[in-house]
Amino acid sequence: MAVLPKHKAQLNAARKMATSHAEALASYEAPRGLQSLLPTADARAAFEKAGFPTPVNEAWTFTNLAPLAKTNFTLPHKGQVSGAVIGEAKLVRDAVTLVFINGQLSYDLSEMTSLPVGVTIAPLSQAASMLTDSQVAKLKGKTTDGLAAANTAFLTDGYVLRVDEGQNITTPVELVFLSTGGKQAINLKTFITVGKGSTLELSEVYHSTSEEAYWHNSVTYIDVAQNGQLHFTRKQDEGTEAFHTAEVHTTLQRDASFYGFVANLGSKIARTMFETNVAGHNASANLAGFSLTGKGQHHNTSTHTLHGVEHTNANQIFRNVVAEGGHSVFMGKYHVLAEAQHTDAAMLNQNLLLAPSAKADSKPELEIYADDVKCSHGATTGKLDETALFYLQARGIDKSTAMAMLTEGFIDDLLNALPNSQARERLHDAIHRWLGRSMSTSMKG
Amino acid sequence: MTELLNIENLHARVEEKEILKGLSLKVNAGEVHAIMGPNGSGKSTLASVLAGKPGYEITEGSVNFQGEDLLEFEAEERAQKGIFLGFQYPVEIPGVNSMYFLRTALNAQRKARGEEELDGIDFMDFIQDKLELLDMNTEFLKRPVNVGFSGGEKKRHETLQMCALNPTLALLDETDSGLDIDALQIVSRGVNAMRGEGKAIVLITHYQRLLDYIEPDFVHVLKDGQIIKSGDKTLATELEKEGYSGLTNETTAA
Amino acid sequence: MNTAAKMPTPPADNVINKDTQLDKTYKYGFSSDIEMDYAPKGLNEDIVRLISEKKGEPEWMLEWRLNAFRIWQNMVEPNWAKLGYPPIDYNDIYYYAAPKSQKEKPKSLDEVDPELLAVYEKLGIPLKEQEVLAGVEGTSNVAIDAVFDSVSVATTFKDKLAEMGVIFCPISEAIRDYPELVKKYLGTVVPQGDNFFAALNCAVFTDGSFVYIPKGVRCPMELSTYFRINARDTGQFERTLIIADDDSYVSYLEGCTAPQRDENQLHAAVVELVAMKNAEIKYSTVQNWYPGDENGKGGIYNFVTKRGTCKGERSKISWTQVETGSAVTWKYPSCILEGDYSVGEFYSVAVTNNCQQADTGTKMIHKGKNTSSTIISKGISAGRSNNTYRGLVHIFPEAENARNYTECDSLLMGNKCGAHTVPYIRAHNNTANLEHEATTSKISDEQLFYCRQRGLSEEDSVSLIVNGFAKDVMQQLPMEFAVEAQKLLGISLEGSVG
Repeated sequence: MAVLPKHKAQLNAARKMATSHAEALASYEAPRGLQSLLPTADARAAFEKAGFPTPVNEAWTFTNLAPLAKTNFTLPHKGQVSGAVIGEAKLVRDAVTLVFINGQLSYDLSEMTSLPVGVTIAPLSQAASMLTDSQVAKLKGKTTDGLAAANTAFLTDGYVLRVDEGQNITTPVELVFLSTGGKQAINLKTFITVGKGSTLELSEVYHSTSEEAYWHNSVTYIDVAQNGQLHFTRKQDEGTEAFHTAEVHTTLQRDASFYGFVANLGSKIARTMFETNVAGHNASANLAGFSLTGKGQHHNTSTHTLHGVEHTNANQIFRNVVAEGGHSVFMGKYHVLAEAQHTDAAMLNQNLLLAPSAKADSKPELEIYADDVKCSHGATTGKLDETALFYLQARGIDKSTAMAMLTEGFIDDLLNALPNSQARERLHDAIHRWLGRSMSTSMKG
Repeated sequence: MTELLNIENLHARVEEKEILKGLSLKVNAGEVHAIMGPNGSGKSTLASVLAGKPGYEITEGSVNFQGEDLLEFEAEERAQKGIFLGFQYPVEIPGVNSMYFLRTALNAQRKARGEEELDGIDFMDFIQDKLELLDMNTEFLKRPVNVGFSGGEKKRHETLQMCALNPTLALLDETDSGLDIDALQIVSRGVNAMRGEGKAIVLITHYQRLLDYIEPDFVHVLKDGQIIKSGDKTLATELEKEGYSGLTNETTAA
Repeated sequence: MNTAAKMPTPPADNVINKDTQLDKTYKYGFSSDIEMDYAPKGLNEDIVRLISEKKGEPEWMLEWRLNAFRIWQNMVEPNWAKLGYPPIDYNDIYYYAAPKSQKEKPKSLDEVDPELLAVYEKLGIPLKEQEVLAGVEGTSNVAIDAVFDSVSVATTFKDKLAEMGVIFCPISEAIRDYPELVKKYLGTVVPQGDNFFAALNCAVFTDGSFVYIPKGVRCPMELSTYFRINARDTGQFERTLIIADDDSYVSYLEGCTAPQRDENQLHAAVVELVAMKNAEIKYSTVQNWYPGDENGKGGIYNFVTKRGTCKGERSKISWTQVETGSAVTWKYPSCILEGDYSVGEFYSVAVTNNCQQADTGTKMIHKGKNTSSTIISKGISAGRSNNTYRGLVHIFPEAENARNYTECDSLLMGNKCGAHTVPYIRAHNNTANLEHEATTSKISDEQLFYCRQRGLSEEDSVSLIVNGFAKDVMQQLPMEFAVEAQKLLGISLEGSVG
């Protein structure tokens, strides 16, 4: 690959920053239960070779990670959090809950008594024996991706979740990841397996008690077996100075369904990448979500969905609301191989810009090699409909309330994709609060 | 009477499923035949097989049209030989205006018959009285083929094409379904104009109503892939009253 | 960049299309025996000097070229497009080839080599250029500047245009006769270092067209350039510069063909358009360079930079292209909308068959207030080809009330080909209103059967349906081009059904 000189300079800088990141964390030791499995040294070398991603890399063309790369991070430390904070952060009140503080499981704060039969869940550092061969291979695997390499090289912990075959699990499971701040780099790795014909509602919440810079870097591997079904909801509500990078790799077998949902509220820079391999007939990958992006924030939602066999479905809808000084990015891609005839895939990205300085970038992409397919994408970007706004004002509603109502309407029906009513309410409230805050600032502009 | 079409013991299947199971039918020049039957009896399959739609496998039997083995020809060759199929669900072709489509089709057929092709001006002269017969105007022809047409417009468009292409044998597949009385009258007018020496019409229909406007010489009942009863137009009235359920496979076609 | 994956080069030995009609598809595949005058192969400063000298250029032009050459030397070939081709050896190419008889410029067409005229005769279709070139005046309202390999051969209708103050001449002539105009605008829309291929063009361009439409003039005829690559191993580097002054209008047509050859030939053109206040430029291209044979052997590598600036308010630039040729196409005709209320349009049909690869699209850069742009792209892929739409719509923060509508539709024929859509949509002002839609489909069996039932052959049915699919773009073409372009779509897809 030819590299342009200016790109070479960027790459060198990104490598240099990776090296200094690694040096700052030099005293790192892998969790005891994973030491024989984790290729710590190789991963560190791979990280330093790849560097932090730069906009030269097409996937990062709209997202500049320099503020993250330039921050001097430390290894995670122990933290104290009250139960009330957890209650505040949670999406599903009644769920079986595992709480990780600064990347480490807190047994005190977790609520696992109602864990249903058929579900096994444990922190990764203590569950190496639960891993399947292919999961071990993923853990040991080499990567050329800087963030994935850093994740392995400085892994804090994560969890392993398995649903046995034929289990219709009605109790939701939730993971809460809390950071207490202090410039920690917290690396999480997760392995989720949904057995044949089983169903599960799973949610993850990322939250903070601090406004300091820290970094949650997570890599998740999901396998949904034949006819299995997984609802996977992520609420990212980190502190305003936080960095959040997440990759969710999902493989779907025959007749399996995956419902991924992401709600982006917090962080200075947050990127969520859904990489989905629709590998079985009649499997369906459904992704949805929204971002509420305020001043100084950058939210990137990316998807890459691979269709490799006949008769698979995919649907995506992402709506982003950007307030003054915010920047949202959507990069979606359907990749349909020649074998994947009768793929039915739709993608929609809609962006709402609330203030003159709000920015939205969108790249909805199709790469298609099969002729008998139904693939489409649509993207719209604009501001609130003036006529609708006027209509509400003419009925006596003040402008900021009217704006908030219309914006809420723009996002709210997305929440219907969520199976859990508590999660819907929680997110609805979060949207409402965010709008209340940002409308007052937007109005000044 | 000159024999136009002779179908003998026709068996046809689609993806392993046998739909026509030994169908026989003779159509002479000058005749109008109506084929009636319950849903799934094979009516549309018969029309499709005769017009040469890909995807049907003929496992047994023969179809002779004007002394030739019809099954040997491609769809367009059958059209050029004078077989017209009025589609039950006319197909949309975005971006292609109806006038251009019809002229291209007409010229393809004229060329195949060794006749001179019509240029745009000649074509307008040619089509004018056909449009009038069907209460249509030239604006209609400027629209893309069947795109955004109402059900009635689609069927009138099919009828217009039939009148323009002037086939020897017209197969009209449920041309009447979904039409109101006005549209039905207009379509019937077009079909009746087609009647004449040397030509034949096969109406495939669900309802006796159409036959009030286009009087058939013969009525056949198709059930489970075979013609189980044939008669004159009174058979249709009978069917309307009694339904198909009383009929069994015992009777053989006349 | 790592997502711009290299396309696997299709195997050359297997899968020969059943339909032998493919062999006759490229009807312009002949090569004429006109004596050529070559510069030696390869590229260095001496070659650049030689080209400049051959063209009798002034010192400033030579310096401009040398500067570009130095920039180019420090650049790398871009590789982000979805294209795969063996490395190009830039030192194995002739950068200058002129038909010998052109060394002394002909006073009139009578003095043109009869072989050359015969070439135009063989080209047959587009328009009535043939008659025009043959000197039959009044037969067409099209003025032609023909570029045969690298030298502009003859410009017709010059006098008629001159009366109105319109300048339409080879750019080499413009450099000599209108240096101030050329200096003022050359390289202002596409800077020398804009990209690898543009820089190369700046250094070695041999000829092309220059158009200047004075204030308030509506150019009374379509202006047309006919590009044709003839010599073996020659790259063709034309350079076109069109300036439409305030309140003026011009419609410009460009047709391209190249003879059939086994080797790949390089083509790297630059087109710059400048539209001043209230001016409108309509630029139409029908490109059917030799696409290579059914196994991907030979064909043109077409790396083109086309860009226009809507400088003045209420100006308009409209690109229409029908791309059926070339082995490799890398082309993004773009608009920079600087003037308030300016309008940019891009209408494109790109057809790829056999082993062709096309990566084409546009950039609409909105800087002025109330600017609007429309993008309609229709891609048709057949055989083992790959067809990519790549487009950028960028609303700058200062571009209040910008509008864009984008529609990209792909049609696939068979499952050995690929259709890709890569839109970049950047809205950095909240008053922007952007809409983007894309679909991928095939010709349905129902549509084919319907047409065949009415008596059309399978090939004609496909041609009819494809032309319907591309209609929104085809109707943007000037009448003279439309008929040829329609036929071209059919011809390009022959043998691709079934």
